[in-house]
Amino acid sequence: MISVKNLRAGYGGRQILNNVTVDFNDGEITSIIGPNGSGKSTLLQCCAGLLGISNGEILIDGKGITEYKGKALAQSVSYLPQNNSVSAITVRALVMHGRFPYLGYPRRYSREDIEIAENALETVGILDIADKQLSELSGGQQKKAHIAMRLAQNTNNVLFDEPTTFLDIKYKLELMKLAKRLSGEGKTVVAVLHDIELAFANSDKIVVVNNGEVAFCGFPSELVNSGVIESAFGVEPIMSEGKLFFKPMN
Amino acid sequence: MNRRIKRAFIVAALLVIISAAAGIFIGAVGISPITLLKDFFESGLSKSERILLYVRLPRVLGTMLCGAALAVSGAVIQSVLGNPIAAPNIIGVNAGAGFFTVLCLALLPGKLELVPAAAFLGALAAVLTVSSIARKIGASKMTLVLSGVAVSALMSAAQDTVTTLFPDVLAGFTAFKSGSVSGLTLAKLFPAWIYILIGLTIVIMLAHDMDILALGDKTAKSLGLNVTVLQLVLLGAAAMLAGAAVSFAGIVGFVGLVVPHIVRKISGTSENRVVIPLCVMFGSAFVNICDIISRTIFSPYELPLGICVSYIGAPFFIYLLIKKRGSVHRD
Repeated sequence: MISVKNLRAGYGGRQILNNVTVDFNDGEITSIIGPNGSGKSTLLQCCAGLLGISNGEILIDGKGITEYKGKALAQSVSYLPQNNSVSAITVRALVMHGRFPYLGYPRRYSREDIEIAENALETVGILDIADKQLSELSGGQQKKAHIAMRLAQNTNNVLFDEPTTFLDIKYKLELMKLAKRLSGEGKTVVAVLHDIELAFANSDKIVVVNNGEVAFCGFPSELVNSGVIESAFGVEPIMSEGKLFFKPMN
Repeated sequence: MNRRIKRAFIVAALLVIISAAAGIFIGAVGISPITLLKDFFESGLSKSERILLYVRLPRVLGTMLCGAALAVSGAVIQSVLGNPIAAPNIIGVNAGAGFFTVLCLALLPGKLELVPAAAFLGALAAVLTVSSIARKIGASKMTLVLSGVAVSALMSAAQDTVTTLFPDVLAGFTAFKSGSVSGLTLAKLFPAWIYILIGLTIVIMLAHDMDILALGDKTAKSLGLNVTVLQLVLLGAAAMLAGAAVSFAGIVGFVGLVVPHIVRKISGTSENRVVIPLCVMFGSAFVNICDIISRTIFSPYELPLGICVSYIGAPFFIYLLIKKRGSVHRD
C-alpha cells in the first residue's frame, strides 16, 4: 500500500505537484489519468523514490519512503518507466536483472532467483521467447519482457508509467489482464494511463491529476458525473451500454 | 554461455597468442624461435635475446596493455554515457590525458613515475567536463559528441601551447601526438601497468552493475542502484585506463570506439561480463597487430602506431555514423 500525504514535489527548481494526498490500496488497480503535463508521471516517480519530496510524505507499506535504503525500496516498489532501453541481451537476461535488488556481491543468482524469473516469464507469457534477443522482438513483446523484469522484482507495489502507449489493442488488453492478476494476488497496482476508456474499464479506482493537484479520486462509475472530465480534459463523457464515450464540448 | 560467445573467446584467445608471437618474432631483424631456444641455454645474452628483452617484449607488452586499456575504457564510456559513438578519443579523454602528460613532463622533468597519474587526472578532467556539459544541456548523442570535440580541441590546443613553450618536453616521447610505442622500455611501462590493472579490476568487479546502468537511469535507480556514485567510479576507472595508455603510448585514437563494437557484434551480446574480458583480448590483439603493420609495412621506416590505428578506426567511425544516422537525429 502507498499513502501519499500533502505531497509537494517537482524537478529542475519547478514545483509540479501541489499538496497531493491519495492512497493506493493493496489488491486494487488504481489508474492515474490527467491531461499532458498535469503531474501524473511526477507523482508515480515520487512513489518510486526517483524524485525528491519538498514537502509532505509518502508511506510505502506503512513506512516512510525516506527510511528505505536503495535496495530495500526496490524490494517493495517496482517501477516501469515510459521509455525502456533495448540492450543487446536476451529476454531471460533482462528478466533476471529484476533480481538485482536481492543480489549481494559477487552478483550471483541463487536457484530461487532463477525460479522467480522463470515464473515471471511464464506469468507474462513470454517463456517461449526467453532466449531471443530483445532487439529482435516487436514493441509489444519488448514491453512484456520489461514488465516480466518488474514481476521478477517481486514487490508488493507495482507502478507502471503509461505501459500501453504505442501498443496494439491485443497487448493493451493482455496487459490489463495481467494487472488484474497482480491485484488479485493482493498487490498494489498503480498505472498512469493516457487511455481514459481503458482506465475506466479496468480500474478499481481512478485518480485524476490536473495542474499538479488531485481533482478526483474514486470509483470509475463516480467519475462520469463528477464534472472532472469536462474541466480537466475539455470533453464531455457519455455512458452508453456500460461503455464510456466522449464528445467535444461546445 | 552460448556457442557464439564461446567462439568469440576462442577467436580472441587465438588472436592474442598469434599476434603476441608475431610481435616478438617479426621485425626489422627477424628472430627465430629455434635460435632463441638455443641461446637460452648458452651463457650471456645473445643478440636475439637482447632484441627480445629490450625491444620486442616491452613493445608487445606496451601495445597489448594500451589496446586492452583503451578498448575497456571505450566500452565503459559508451555504457555509462549510453552513447555508442562515445569513446576516449571522441570525447576528449585522450587529449586531456595528453595535455596533462606534457604538462607534467614540462613542469616536473625527470619525474617519469608521475606521468600516469598526471595523464589520469587529465583524462578525468576531460570526461567529467564532457559528461557535465551533456547533462546540463540534455545529453543527446550528438550533443555529447560535439561537447567532446570542443573539449578535445581545447585540450589539444593546451598541449600544443606547452610543447611550444617547452620544446624539449617531448624529447623522450617520440611521435607522442601520433601515438607511438617505438623505443618503449619496461621502465616506462612500470607505473602505467599498475593503473591499468587497478582500472581493469574495478571495471570487471562492476561489470554486472554496468549492465543495470545500461537499462537507463530511471530503471537502474528503481532497482536500487546508486547511479551517480557508480557513474563516477566507472568514469574514474575509464579515465585511469585511458590516461595510463596515453602516458606511454601517446595519443592512439579509435581503439576505444572500434573494439567494443566489434566485440558486441561478434559475441552478439552487450552483457559486460562478456564484453569487458573480450575487449581486453581483442583490444590487445588489435593494437599489437596495428603495431606490427606500422613497423613492417614501410620497413625500414616505421609509421607511428596511432596513424595505423586511425587508418582502420576512422573509416569504421564513419561507417558507424552512417549506420546510426537515424538514432542520432532522433535524440
